[in-house]
Amino acid sequence: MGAPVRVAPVGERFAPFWAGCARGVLLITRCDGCGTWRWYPPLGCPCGSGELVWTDAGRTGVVFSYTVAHRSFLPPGRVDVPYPIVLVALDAAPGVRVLGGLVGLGGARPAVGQRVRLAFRRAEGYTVPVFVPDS
Amino acid sequence: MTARQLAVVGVGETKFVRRGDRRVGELVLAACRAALADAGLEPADVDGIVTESSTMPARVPADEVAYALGMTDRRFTAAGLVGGAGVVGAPVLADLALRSGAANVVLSYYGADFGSAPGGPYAFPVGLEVKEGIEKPLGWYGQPLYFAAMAQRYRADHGLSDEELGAVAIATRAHAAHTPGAMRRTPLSMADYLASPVIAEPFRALDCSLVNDGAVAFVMTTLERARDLRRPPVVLAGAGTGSVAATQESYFTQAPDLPRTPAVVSGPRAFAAAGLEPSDVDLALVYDCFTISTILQLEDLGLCRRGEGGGFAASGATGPGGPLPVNTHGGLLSHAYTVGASHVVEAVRQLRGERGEAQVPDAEVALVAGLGVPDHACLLLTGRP
Repeated sequence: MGAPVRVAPVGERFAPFWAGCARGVLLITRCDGCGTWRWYPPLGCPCGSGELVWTDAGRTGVVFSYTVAHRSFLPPGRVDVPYPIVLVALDAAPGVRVLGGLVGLGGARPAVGQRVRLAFRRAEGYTVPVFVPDS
Repeated sequence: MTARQLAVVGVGETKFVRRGDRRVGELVLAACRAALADAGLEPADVDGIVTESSTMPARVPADEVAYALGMTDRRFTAAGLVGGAGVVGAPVLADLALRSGAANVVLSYYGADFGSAPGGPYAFPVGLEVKEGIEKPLGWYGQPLYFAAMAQRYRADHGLSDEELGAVAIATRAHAAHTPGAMRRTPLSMADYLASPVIAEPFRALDCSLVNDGAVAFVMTTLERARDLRRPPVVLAGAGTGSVAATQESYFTQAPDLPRTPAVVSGPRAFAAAGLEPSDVDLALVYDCFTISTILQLEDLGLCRRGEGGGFAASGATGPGGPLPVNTHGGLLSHAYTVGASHVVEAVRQLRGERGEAQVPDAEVALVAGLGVPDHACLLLTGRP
């Protein structure tokens, strides 16, 4: 099954994120000075003593919130509605949240607090993170 | 009251239409002329312009407006916070200018062309790298999705029924029914609300702001000067602005205390500055880009208890005749999407006592709340100084 959204990323700022997805790793930014996860990548870490480094954020987490989009504001023909999208608090990256699709619900409703596991799915020309219920 | 305290002395609006055929700058010019006429001031009296900072400086620059109006000496020009925080927060900057003597009469405006501009409101805020770089490819695009996720989190934390969201839309529409310039004036039933098409769960179309073209302006001067003008002055009793530790890009996914809004910072600051309490507020004009936005800010401002905003609306408290009428012009949901500028205008009209059948009886204190993440502005305006 294809991804419901097919709008290829533009620009260099998030290239490491997409390169990570392509090889099955979720890379987001963490300060190598104080160890704090900072997402999206800010101008610098407030600790002032480290660099932001693209770091593996693990594969499990909890749904912080979600919606199911029934109407899209993206270019027509690039989106199949409805689709769920979740905001996940990752176990290994406290303090930040990542976006992803949600698959494998088997007819169940998405739910805040649901445990999920990371997977990846091909869109057109790029790979996106999706989450799967982790019971 | 002090002589150089800020008073709003004139307000003006254009007609609001779904998609217009006039340039947004022309709409702004018309609104500014209407506001000056309302005040009984001439363009040459104006020596300051304050706008929000995300779209106006590029789309409708102060120098263009000043020139076309016929202003002769623009001594003070400033663009403040973004979006609704900047529009509602404009009097905060104007107040600094008036008190310091940097300006004597300050004009503020907002022109909306979301109805006709490419990308509509979804392109807003413009130029954020995250949109093209990561969020669009993941399907996270359009304000309805951002606020829907806030609503779903709120629902999990506190409980929130579809009917409670619907109550906000219905009460707001009931106010708009008494507002001649509102775009949507036909009263809504709960059945109408529930039949409205789903946009992003839990939102239906009727949970979402209108999309339109149109412009709004208001003019401010010192209370001393205001006493000689046409209209009863509406005074800035106190104001607060504030932000949370997030950026415009990161707010909707990363703000630490989602789904709370930065009104938790600006609200208490405004009440302290004015020496007022939430119980003193006679009506509130709250940035209602979505129904959940009203619920969240009413709670964050202390106008109802935490977790009870939905029930508060469902009780009829915010509708016509309720103990705390909210968005008495119809708000962004039913009047027009003017990014908070019409909220300021409505506060002024209510405090002047000129709202006819929509008049809140004995209105003396109006709160205006403007959201423009990660910032928020809160005004407390009073009539009868």
